[in-house]
Amino acid sequence: MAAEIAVEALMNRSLRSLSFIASCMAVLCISASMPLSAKTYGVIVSGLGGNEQYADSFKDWTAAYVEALGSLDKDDDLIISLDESATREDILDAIAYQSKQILQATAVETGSETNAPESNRSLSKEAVNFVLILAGHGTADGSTWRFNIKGPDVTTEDLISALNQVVSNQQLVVLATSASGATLDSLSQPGRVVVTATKSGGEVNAVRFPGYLAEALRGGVADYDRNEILTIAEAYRFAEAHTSEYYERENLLASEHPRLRGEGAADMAVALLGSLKDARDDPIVAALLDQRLDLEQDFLLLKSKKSDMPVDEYYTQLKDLLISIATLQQSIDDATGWSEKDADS
Amino acid sequence: MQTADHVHSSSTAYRLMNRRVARFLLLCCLIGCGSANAFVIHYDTTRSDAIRECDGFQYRGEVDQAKQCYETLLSTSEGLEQADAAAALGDIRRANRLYRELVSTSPDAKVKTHWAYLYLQTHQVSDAEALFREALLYDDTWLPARVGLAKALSEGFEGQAREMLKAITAEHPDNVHALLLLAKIELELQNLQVGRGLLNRALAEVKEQNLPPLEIYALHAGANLLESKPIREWIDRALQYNPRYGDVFSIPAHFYIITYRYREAINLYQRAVKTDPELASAHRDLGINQLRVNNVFAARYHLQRAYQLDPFDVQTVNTLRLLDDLDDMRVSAIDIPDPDNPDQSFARALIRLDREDADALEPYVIDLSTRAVQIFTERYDFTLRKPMVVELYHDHDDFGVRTVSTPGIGLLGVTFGYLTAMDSPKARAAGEFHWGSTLWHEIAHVFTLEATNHRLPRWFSEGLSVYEEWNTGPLPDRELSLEVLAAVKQGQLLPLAQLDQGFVRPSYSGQVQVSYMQAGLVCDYIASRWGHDALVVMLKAFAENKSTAEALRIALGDDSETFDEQFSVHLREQWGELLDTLDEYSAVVRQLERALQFEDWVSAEALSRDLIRRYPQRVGDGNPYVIMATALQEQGHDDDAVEVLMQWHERGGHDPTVLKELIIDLRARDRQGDAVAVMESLNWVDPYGTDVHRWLGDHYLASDEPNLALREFNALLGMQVDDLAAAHLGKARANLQLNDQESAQREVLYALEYAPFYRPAQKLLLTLTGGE
Repeated sequence: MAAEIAVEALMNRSLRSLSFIASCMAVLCISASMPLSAKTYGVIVSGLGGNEQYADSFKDWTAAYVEALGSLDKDDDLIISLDESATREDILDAIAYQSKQILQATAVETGSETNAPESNRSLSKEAVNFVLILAGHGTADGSTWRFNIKGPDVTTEDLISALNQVVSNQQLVVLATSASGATLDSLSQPGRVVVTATKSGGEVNAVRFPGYLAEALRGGVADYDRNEILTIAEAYRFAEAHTSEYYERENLLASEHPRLRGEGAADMAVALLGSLKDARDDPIVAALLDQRLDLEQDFLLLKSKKSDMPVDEYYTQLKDLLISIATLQQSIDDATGWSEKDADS
Repeated sequence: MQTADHVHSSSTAYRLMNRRVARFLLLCCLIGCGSANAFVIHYDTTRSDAIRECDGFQYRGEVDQAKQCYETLLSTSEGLEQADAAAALGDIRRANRLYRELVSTSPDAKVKTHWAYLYLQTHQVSDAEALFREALLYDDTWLPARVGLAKALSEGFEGQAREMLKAITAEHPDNVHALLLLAKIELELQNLQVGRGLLNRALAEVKEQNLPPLEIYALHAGANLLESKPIREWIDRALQYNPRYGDVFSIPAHFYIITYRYREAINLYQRAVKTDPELASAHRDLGINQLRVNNVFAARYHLQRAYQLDPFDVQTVNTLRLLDDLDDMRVSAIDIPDPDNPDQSFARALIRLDREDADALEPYVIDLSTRAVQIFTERYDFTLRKPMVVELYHDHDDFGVRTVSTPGIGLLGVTFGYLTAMDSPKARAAGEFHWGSTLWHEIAHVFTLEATNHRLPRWFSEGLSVYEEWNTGPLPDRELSLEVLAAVKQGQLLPLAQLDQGFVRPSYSGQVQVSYMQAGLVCDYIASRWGHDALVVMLKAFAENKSTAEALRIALGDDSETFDEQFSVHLREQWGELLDTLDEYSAVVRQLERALQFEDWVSAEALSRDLIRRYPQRVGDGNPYVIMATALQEQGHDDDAVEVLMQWHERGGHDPTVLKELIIDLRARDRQGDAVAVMESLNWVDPYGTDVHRWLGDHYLASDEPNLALREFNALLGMQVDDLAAAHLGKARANLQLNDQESAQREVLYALEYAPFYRPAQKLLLTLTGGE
């Protein structure tokens, strides 16, 4: 398989820190407009800790990120995880590798030539997302932001250059480091959601936001709408709130102010939960999930009209719609064998 | 100014104080602009004869002549006389410039002193104090500067001022200003005989020195109020001297304020502004005190008028800003049911909370206020005649301005009769104070103040509140700090007849806190020996204007001296062993610190056990229980550690971090009942724990206590937690337990509106609607 060849090539380039999520190709049968439909490729890097405590934290956080993103494509080989031994070259190679993976995958589907200029290539009908997460220490000076790793650091300019080569429908860049806010202006562009742990390069203290982000991705706590699809918007909301709460609770001057910039965060899945995670390959379940997504669209449409509707009428329609959703969910649960014991709440 | 306050006594590094302090003026730097008219009497006989002649017109109320006289001097004279004329005319900018120029060319103590008085006139007391001190550097015997410094210090209620004035009046028995300042302090301390004597001495001197007797008359009127005598005689004499002398009402009003009689004070301030409509300080104080009795509209009018007359007054500016914030607060009215007849309400409370705090706190404030009113009504045989107003401020500076018109105060709560205001738990770091206990303390004040029409001494009011905290409040903590114990040991407790001085003019650091505890211990002792009813008898005696000595005689049959002796014996019985071994206790504490340093857990356990045996009530900062629990955990005795923490909790330990850990441990051991008790305690010290509210809500649902469950879920919703769906579902289930299907369905729709795929809510919706 193409992925295996590429892995081998990477290993030959001494990328010993690479670890892949064991997987094989799978097709999701869910409406193209929803986050579930996107195939998500990713590179997740744990930076240099400097001491055991930080190293353990970074490792722990990146493990959570990897596991969450892995849930999106259970059987795929789409997420590359690099540990603190990764060098600048390893990281940039991993991004380039994923870029090629995306092109190859889309070429297989569309039948286009992979050696055409990247900017001329079009994506397949199925959306493809790319996620880059860097967790560790960051620093910033007047010229650039740096991700602290073994050897020369990765800079903002390195990321801009590498990410511009990645042709995907949507990119998510999470810089879970101190001073990462310095990159906000440089990295922001259409089709890319940028999340930073700080609001500027001046916030240089070690950050807590990445830990809360890991907590959000680990379970269902941040799945506020209980649709079993955790989006980056939900995860960010959880992590940002808990970061802020931490400083307030301890009555400390907040030394980090996370930021999320870019459109589409609410549609960008970063983890699947519950029955979606466990049973999405079942064609019967998939068909029911399609119906559920349609009802969800109706629900969102109704909510968007709330301020223009008489209150009674809105809640009457809402009740009817919610009863339909609940009834359908029962069918899905019957099909997946979900029981209340599986529920987190 | 004295208030029924609850002193806060700790601060910690990293605490963020005064985050929004810039909203209020601490000390304004406005002296460079504007004008201010104030009626000031200058007792400084070093003022020039020409200026004193103009002053004379002013003192007699001949305003036009005075103005003409000062204006003539301003244009014809030079030097200090010219600067003094500008100051007298209220041309602050010019006066300030002239003084500054004079100071730059002459190292004269006299000039600095006059300049300092300009700062006092514009309410910049600390700057004035600095200038007086500078004047004394030029000439440490310069009497006007010494008196001025004492005045500046006395405005900050510094105990030091009294000693300074005693020294000055001993050295210079003819100094009228010093005599008056000291007389005012003695009257504030209720030393009426001493105060009257000083006033009489001053009265003889003003005749000799051709000074106005106006303030002497006003202070005599104040003394009359303290003795519940008519003040008409002094008013008439003052107005005969100067028909526009409004301070003859506002100076005595001050003595109503310090004895908490705000409504009577308002009447006097109203007469003050009627007598002199230009008297800015009276408009200010009238506004501030109208606010204290919740007359917001009247307060705004007079504060705006005060601002027009004197824009330098930080109290006026701060209170006007607070009024804008008050408009944004949420007010809820609750009718408090009579416990003997729950269908009937017998009191009403108005709860005013910051909007962003309101939903989270209101269920708890209502719960505690209701219980407090029911209990105190019975215990003090007094039913509230007006609605009680309870205000909680999530910004400490708002609270500071609300109470003393100045941010940055070290108080937690203040009660002005039917109105009580305090910090909300959000105003300080989590767990910095037990807000439930503070609110209990303040509501006790509402009863004791109103039951006596504010005619009770400070010690008894505070003592009863502390006593109620210990005996009926939400916190069983009875710890006396080591500092208080040391004060007891060193014989620093005041005789009961003088205990008010410990609150009003403390003479050593920490005396206010010691006085609180002494007052509480006195009340506790009376209740334990003569019964709680004896305290009620004393309260009624105070309502009839009896003194402490008379109240003691009526209620206990003892005089003050006998009582002091008995109380001293009681303290020895209760605390003698600990007091005798206080040094040993401290030595064990030091050994424990060393053991902790070396992580010697076996020794740490033994030493902390010893400390608990010696002083089991110590549950606050540095308590040995938490250390012992840690030591036990480190040795693998987790269950024993939990038991030690349970003992600590039962004695009133309330560190929220430890309580949260204890809750987790108890839940892990499936001790739900204990966990719930600890969670309930936690909410009175840190009510913002979302997990705790969720657990408690679920627990009360499971135990079929829907009203308590609703309280918890309402608090959760008020905190604007991210997971609103679960809170709405909780409310739906609680409503279902209350057989309120309509509310249940509404809440479940709210839940699903946030989270349409929330299975438990979906299931409930299908159940409620039958799958319509």
